[in-house]
Parts: sequence; C-alpha cells; structure tokens
Amino acid sequence: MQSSAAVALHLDAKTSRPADLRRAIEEHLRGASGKIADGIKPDDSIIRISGADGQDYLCCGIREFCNVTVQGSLGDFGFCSFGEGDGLVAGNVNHFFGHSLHSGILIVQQGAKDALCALGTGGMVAVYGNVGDRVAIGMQGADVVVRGSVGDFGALGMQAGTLVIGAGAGLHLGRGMRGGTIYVRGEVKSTSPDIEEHRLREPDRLKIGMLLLKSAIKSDGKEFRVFRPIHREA
Amino acid sequence: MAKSFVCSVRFTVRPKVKPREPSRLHCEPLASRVDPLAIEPHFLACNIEALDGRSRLQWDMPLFTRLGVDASIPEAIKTPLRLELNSHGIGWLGRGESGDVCCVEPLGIDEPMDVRTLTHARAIELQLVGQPFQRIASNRRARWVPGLPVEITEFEQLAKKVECLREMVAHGCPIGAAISPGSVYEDVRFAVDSGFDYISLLLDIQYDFHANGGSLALAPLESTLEMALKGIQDSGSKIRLLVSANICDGFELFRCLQRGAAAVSIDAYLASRKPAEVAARKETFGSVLSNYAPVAVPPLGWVTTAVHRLREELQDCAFYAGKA
Repeated sequence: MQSSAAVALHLDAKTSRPADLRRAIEEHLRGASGKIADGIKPDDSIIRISGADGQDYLCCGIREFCNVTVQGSLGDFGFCSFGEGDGLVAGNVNHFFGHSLHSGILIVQQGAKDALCALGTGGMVAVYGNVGDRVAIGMQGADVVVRGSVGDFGALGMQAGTLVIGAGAGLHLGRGMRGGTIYVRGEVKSTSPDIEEHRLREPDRLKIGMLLLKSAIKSDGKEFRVFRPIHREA
Repeated sequence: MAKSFVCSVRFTVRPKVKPREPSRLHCEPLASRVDPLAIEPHFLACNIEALDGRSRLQWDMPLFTRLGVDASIPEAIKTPLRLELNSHGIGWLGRGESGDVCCVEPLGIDEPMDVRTLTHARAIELQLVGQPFQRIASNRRARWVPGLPVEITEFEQLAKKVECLREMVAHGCPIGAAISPGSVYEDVRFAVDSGFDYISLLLDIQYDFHANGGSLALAPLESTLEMALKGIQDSGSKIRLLVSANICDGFELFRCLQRGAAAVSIDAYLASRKPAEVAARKETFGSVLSNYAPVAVPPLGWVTTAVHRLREELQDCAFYAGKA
C-alpha cells in the first residue's frame, strides 16, 4: 500500500467535515481544472488523514485513484461507496464500514463492528481482527477477508461475492444467501438451511490463496470449509 | 329509602393541541381579498427544503410522476416523456440526466448507494417498500409492502444512513422517503424522526399506465392523508408531504393540495386522459413485455394537452381560492 511517492496530502479530520475532506482530496488530485494534476501518478498519490477518532462518514463517496491512510479508528459508514483507490485504517472501524463498496481494496488493521461491507458490489475488504454481526449483508459481488472470527448472521442475504473467515463464525451463517461462496476455518456455531457444504477443490484453494495474498495475510489456505447456497428449483 | 347518588367528575388536563396551520393554498377570507389585483406569482410551485438548509428542490408545478419507477415503460418512450414533463416543471421520479431540473433519484431498500449516480440528483428518495432482492411485479401488493433498507436493524441506523447520503452528495440535496400505507401515523413519525426532508405517500400505483386499468389501490385517500398529516403535526415538524393517489380531476387534485400536500402525482390523471388509440395494447405502450418488442413510439401530444389542461384547472382553482 505505502509507496515512496513524493506527493502526499496530510489532512486533519478533527478540523474538517467529511465532505470538506473529500473536496480537499479531489482538489489535491485533480486540481482546480477538474483533471488529474500534472506530476501525480494515480498509484502514487497518498492521502494521510489523522485525528479521525470515531468520526462518522469519513472518506465516503471517494472515487479516485489514491491511497488513503487513516490514523486512528473510524465511526459509522466509513469509506461508504468508496471506489478505485486503496484504503488503510490503522485502528478499529464501527458499523457499516465499506458500505456499497464499488472497487479497490480496504484494509482494517484491527477489528470491525456490524454490517461490514454491506451491499458491496466490488472490490475487497480485509480485516485483521474480529468482526461483529451481519458481515457481508446483501453483498453483491465484493470480497471480504476476515482473519479473526465473525458474529451471527454472517453473509445474510448475500447475492454474490466471497467471504473468507479465518477463525470461526457465529449463529445462522448464510441465512437467506442466494449466491457467492463462504470459506470458513474454525468452528461454525450454526449454519442456515439455505446453504450446504461443498468439498474444497483446487479452484477454491487458488481463490483463497489469491485473496489472502491481496490482504497481506500469511496463511497456507488449508483447512477451509466451503459453503454455497442451495439451488432450489423455482 | 333514599338512594344516594354519587357523582364523580374527573378533571383531566388535556395537552394543548396546536391547531393545524392552514395550508398555503387555503381559501382566503374576504378580509384578505382587499386587493384583488395583487397576484403572487408561482404560488403553486412546489418547494422542498433540506433540513440542513443547504439545498432546495423546486418545481414550477405541485405535480410529480412516478411512472419512471412504477410503470413498465420502454426507454424509447420514457426519455421523451421525461423531457416533456420536465419542460412543464413536473417532477420526475427516476433515473435522469445531469441537465434535468426536476429529477428525483430513487434508492431501493436493497440498492447500494452509488455516488456516481446520486451526485447529479436534485433529490434522493428512499423507497421504503418492497422485499429485498425479490423482483415482484408492480401489480402485486407484495411489491409495495412497507420495508426498511436491508441492512438497517435499529432506528438510529436509518437516521445515520440519511445523514450519510447527505454527506455523500457534495452539493447537498433533499432526502425523501416513500412509504406505503400500513401504519401511516407511526411510519410518518418514524420518517420525521429519521431526518428525512419530505415524505412521499403511496396510495395508488399506476403500474401499467394504461387507460383500461393498470392501477393498484393501496389505501383510501381521505383517511390516510388525515393520519399522515396528524403524524406530521404531532411530530411538530414542517416536513413536506407528497401524495400518489388515484385523482383524475383537477379540482380534486387542488383539494388534496389545499389539505396540506406539497405535491400530488399526476399518474392517474394522465392515465384517465389517455386517448384510446394510444392506450391499445398492440401499441406496446405500457405492456410488461414491451421491452422485448420493437417499440413504436406513440406521439406524446396528448400528454402536453393533458398537462396544459390540468395547469389551467389548477390555476383556476387557485384563483378562486385567492392565491393566484
């Protein structure tokens, strides 16, 4: 994530509203002309935000090629509708982190609360700690990797995408799930009747390995169980 | 033997109920009509202001249409219809373009919030109806069952989602909630407390835009509107109320505005004015399968005629009420 680029923008979330922060980021990247400024390569532009402790709606609606690094923890709806860039949060995140994620990679170095990556349509979220209930609710194509455990109602109403869980899941895993795949390692308290277990095949191992690699998580990708929704006749 | 009667009178302190403020189109008394030449222009315009005061939605006429969302209309007809209604200052609920002045962006209960789509919207309306991830035909009541967004489980979360939408749209725009009649009083109070800027009450769905039928009645207008207005009044809010009802007459439409609605849907009015040759099924206009068939675009001159007539009727009623 962190590159040795010369262009970096330091912002203080304590003194600015989230909308003002976003405007500052867009102006930094695009300039007053509305185009990408000269000298800024999309992959090199780094935004560092400090003082974001518990602030809601931070970085929501950003669709720029940039690397956003947030020092501290985030409140609700952090990185909502985020896309095309990469994000790194050094602390915890609250409810609805990565809501409606469009594309890009988001990494949370500690834990997350409920409804992580709800309704995400693309991109990937990786959490190094534990996650609360209803992770990947209604997800429509994004990928979620959790190194720790997840709470109840994981993958609730999931339509498409992948959920990788490293250390067990709570009750009612996969309830109302209609598409996508869940990979779980560890104990699952209960699974919903809407999903069934499949045998771990080579494409599954490759997919798990690729997602773990993108998440910068060291793991051999073994001992995972695979769950997919039961396809009922209409 | 004398009977003793004990009469107990219980005095209860009733809370003071504020009398409802007269609507902006209420009939003026004679004392206010001292200057018959004083004309206030644009009195019929629909004004919806965001609670944060940063933005405002304004249409020339207190009318809107939900045909872009509810009815199955081919794109070849939808676009000219949208432009035609926009040119008359009538609100259009549905996907629009950045140049449109009256477009309201709908957001379903299972739809992700796409900033690219929402950023050009003049207003955003959360459709608090339907079952998540189930595409049910519009002519079924199950399609219009009251429902919260799929990820919301607590009251405060909906308020935060509304606030998040405000933050996401940089220029700011009013956020509305479309609710279908279930427990209207409680739902209206819930919507007010969640921080919405306006409420759209769905009482009648014109799902087919067809003269021979194609409407779905969900609740009667009079009693439901009364409950909704009472909910707004008890909340102590000045939130605006939009109404979609089966009103096919200009005077009845004005009556609805007089009672407190900020804008009224013209879908039923347009359907009732549609000429028979356009309404025929063979024209593929309004048919469910019309998206798959070659579409013959019917002339939309009758829409212009109907809107002009409705405008005249409304202005006539407003003049009688001493408003224009």
